[in-house]
Amino acid sequence: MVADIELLQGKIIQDPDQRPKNTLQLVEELALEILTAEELAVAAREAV
Amino acid sequence: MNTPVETARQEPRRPLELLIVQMGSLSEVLRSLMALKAVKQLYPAIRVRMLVRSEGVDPVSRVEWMDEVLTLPQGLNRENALQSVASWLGTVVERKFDILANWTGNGPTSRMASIATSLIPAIVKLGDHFREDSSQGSFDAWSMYRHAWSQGGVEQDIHETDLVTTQLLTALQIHAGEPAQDAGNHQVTSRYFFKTVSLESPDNWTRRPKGLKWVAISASSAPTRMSEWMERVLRRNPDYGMVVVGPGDIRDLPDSPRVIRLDPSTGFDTTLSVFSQCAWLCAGADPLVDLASLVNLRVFYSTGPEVREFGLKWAETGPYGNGHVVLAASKEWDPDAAYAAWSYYQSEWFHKNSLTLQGHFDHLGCNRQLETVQIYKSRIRPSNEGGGVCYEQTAGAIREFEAWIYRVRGQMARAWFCGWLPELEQEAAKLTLSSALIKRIRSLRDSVQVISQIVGGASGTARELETLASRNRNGHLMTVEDREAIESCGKKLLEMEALIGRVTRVEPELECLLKWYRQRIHNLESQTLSGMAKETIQALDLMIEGMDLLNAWTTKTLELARPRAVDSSQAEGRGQGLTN
Repeated sequence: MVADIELLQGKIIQDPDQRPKNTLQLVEELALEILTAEELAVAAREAV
Repeated sequence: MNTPVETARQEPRRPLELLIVQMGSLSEVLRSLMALKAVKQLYPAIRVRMLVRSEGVDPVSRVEWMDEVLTLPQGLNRENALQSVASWLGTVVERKFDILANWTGNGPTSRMASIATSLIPAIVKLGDHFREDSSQGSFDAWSMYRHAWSQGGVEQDIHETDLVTTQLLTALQIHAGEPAQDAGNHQVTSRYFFKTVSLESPDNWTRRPKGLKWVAISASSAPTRMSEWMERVLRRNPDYGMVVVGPGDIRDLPDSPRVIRLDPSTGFDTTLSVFSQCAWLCAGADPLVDLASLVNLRVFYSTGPEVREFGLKWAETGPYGNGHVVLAASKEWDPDAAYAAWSYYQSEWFHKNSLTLQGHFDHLGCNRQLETVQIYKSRIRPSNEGGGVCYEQTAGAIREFEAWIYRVRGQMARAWFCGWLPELEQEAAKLTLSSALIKRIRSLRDSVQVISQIVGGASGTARELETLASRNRNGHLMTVEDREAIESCGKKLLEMEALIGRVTRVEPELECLLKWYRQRIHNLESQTLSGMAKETIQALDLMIEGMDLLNAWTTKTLELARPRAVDSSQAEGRGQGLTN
């Protein structure tokens, strides 16, 4: 399990071709997207 | 002693690891499974994993050959979100994917899927990704095509399933070689697509009258007058029963032992089990249609007026496979027309085409309804015709020009991506020519010629730009004259794009070409001016290729419509034939 962004970045960067420079920004964006989707789903359930 | 290369060749190859990112709707997940089934048949050794949202887990985990289903981390809160996502990603990254294809469509989750695609490493990536400027881009031309046409409101004749299948198969052909010789000789769909799960059927379904054939009806996509259609089936087809599935209500549902309403919250496995006992699914746009396509259940698909009367957008996501029937209505869905169409095809085995569909409508006294509907039957084309699903119109209102341009657009895409086209002579021979069609094609030809000239000029300008830019490799220092010449080329290209835009406002059928060009320009990859100019040349060349094809089709069609001298002996022969 990797809970550290730097370690994660290291894991991703080990890959020869795909090396996103902005791993931290991407992880933040993904977390935000998942949170928003979850909140929307909860709101939709409550509306029903 | 073997060289390292020889040793490597002799070693068994490890299977390719494939990840499909599909965070779209349940329909999209099911269509992705259909595409993957074809891919798995051609490349049986490939290991397939899918990343889906929680709604997609049930169907994907039931697929026999699916190696793993991944889902996003759940139960996040503002405090732990970052750490949870990082931990989740850490485990995903360990799988070391060779190919990652993001098949998520243009819905609310496309951004999420693009970010995940950018984060998860793979040697080859297809589909959309997230760029450093926070916009979305596409890795490959098929994905750009999806954005420009399929999701850009352009009617084109390649089904979503075929689109992603071809995208992935092309990548596999390039990176993994040709498929095994004996691969792919099986049917694409089967009733046994999903692993069987033993479960208890709902009571009312277990107690159903025996000896009947069953039509499953999707409640959520049922037209307002569905109950009238059901009444007709009950009255005229005593050998049929109907089972209503899914959430939603059907107004005035007939009260009969031959009509069963399943609990609206019935799960995936039960629905699958009920489908296995049915002969038909009657539905509109609904994930049940995609499920039925996967398990080879025949679909009677209804679609109403879309953006335009008898629009053909439905064909991109319609039922997949052989023998499905589509009823496209220009106005309100009519139960008489729907009954006539369905009853003709449900008794096909009996009349064996000795009765025409028009004759059947006449017989039921509803031939006038044929003016307000179009009826299509689906077919999987043999591979020598390009493969994939197509819908052939069997009766109803004819829209010749729309059908013509729709076909030509499909051929453009095939020319761009598949490098294969059916013979124009053969294709043109299938056309039904009318004076209205000829008139419309003549007016289109004028616009095609104008755009061809503009694109030709733009291509010359882009080449000039490339020559100028490549003189200055470092991109920083250049003469004032060069800078002015570069600026002038850039302006000219923008003006030409605007000019094409003006022509397409007059002839909207050609807007597809501009959309395609803009999508290519949106996805320029190069960091240097000369590189970008090169990519612009490629985009313009593709446009020229499309315009050439359009020109060839207009010329051929107009040529067929030209009056020709008839051999006198043939004319006499024909005369005799008529009198006999």
